[in-house]
Amino acid sequence: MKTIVTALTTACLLVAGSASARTYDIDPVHSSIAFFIDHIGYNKILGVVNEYAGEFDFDASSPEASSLNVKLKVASINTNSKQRDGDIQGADWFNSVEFPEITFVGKAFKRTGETTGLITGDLTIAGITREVSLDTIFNREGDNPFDKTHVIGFSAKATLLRSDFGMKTYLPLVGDKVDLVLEIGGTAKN
Amino acid sequence: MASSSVQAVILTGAIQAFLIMGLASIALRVLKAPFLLPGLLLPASLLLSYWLVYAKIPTFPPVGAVNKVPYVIAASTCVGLVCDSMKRQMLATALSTAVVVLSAAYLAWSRLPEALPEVALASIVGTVFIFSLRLRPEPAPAQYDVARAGAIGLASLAAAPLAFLGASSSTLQLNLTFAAATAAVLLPWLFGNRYRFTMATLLGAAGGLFAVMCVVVLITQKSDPVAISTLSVMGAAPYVSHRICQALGRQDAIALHVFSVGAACLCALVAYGFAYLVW
Repeated sequence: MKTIVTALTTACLLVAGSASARTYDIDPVHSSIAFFIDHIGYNKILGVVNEYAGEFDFDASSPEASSLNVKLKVASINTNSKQRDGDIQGADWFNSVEFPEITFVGKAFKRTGETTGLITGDLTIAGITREVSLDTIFNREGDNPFDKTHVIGFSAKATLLRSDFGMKTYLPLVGDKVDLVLEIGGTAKN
Repeated sequence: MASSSVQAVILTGAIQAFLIMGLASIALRVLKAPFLLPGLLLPASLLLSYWLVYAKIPTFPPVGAVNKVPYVIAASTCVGLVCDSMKRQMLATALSTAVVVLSAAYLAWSRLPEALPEVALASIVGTVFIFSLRLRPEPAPAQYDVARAGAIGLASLAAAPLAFLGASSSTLQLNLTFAAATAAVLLPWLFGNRYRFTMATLLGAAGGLFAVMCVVVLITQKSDPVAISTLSVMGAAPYVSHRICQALGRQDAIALHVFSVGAACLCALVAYGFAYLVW
């Protein structure tokens, strides 16, 4: 009898725990994905990804159980130069025709502080997959005062080498290191 | 990137390719290497140019059209060597056609079957380029083979702006680097009649250049297909100039080269439009 009670209690606790983990859609209206890349050492060029979609599971009490899937549309990358954008979306760089999407799939979610964490996952660019880690800050979770939807927000940063993804053209004039900056808003599905 | 920096990168790569291939060519000329070896210098120049521009040897199997290009160049050169060893015209014709069609299909694989009409059109253009370069009068005048190899370099030079307008500054760089390397390869052979334009030269260099342009046309899809089709006729420049020389009663190599370059320039002008002449 005692065993049954213990099992039932454990099951109830697990259900209660999983009930607080929500699934969120990335809100493209309140999110930004950008990158910076060095330009001959003088300054950094800003690139913005305008179209993306994704979803994630998150529970602030157990972030290790999270999940994350994001897809970025290569054709929507904008660096404020029509000629450069055409070039980087061409076959020599991101190759948007053969590889129209950049994907990131989270594999490991590690808490590093009260509101900080490290998301490690597989980033695939132009058919090449490499492991990348995102330094993430959990900003806030709650109800949107405007439409009462349940929302959540994160800020994240990562650094990667474009050469790891086979893009070595114009090295070292155009920097190898790419700094990613993400401001992600999520809207709860339910 | 600032235009002056781009120019510096292109110039540096072109000078490196010129020096490396020039020294290799001089060495083969001085050492009186068997004719097949100088014939391999042009495909080697294209591979070197690729390496200088993209700074990588793609992993095998290659992922993405650009990474397939060096393997297409290498495979086409090998097919050319087979043709050279067999010395059978019918086989050479069949394999030349196969190289062009298979290259286009392989490079555009991710877009098939949707891109089938484009692949077919590209194959026709490539076949025109390859077969116009195969034109060889019998007996061929001295320097005729140097003129044929030069036509590939000129075609690469002429295709460079098209690559740039086709949203590939890397292909622009590759085309210019290869053109510089071709010039360096051919300079030591401008005197005498010892250079041989082999099937390995044809399929490795011209077939390879076709593969390079296929990526711009079939994958990036922002280039001008009419202009590129017009440029493919450039391969016939040596043959046309030979006929002009015959009509004028001139048999010297200088006349052959001058008319050949002239015919190639005319072809480029037709491709880009005569508006350039207004300047």
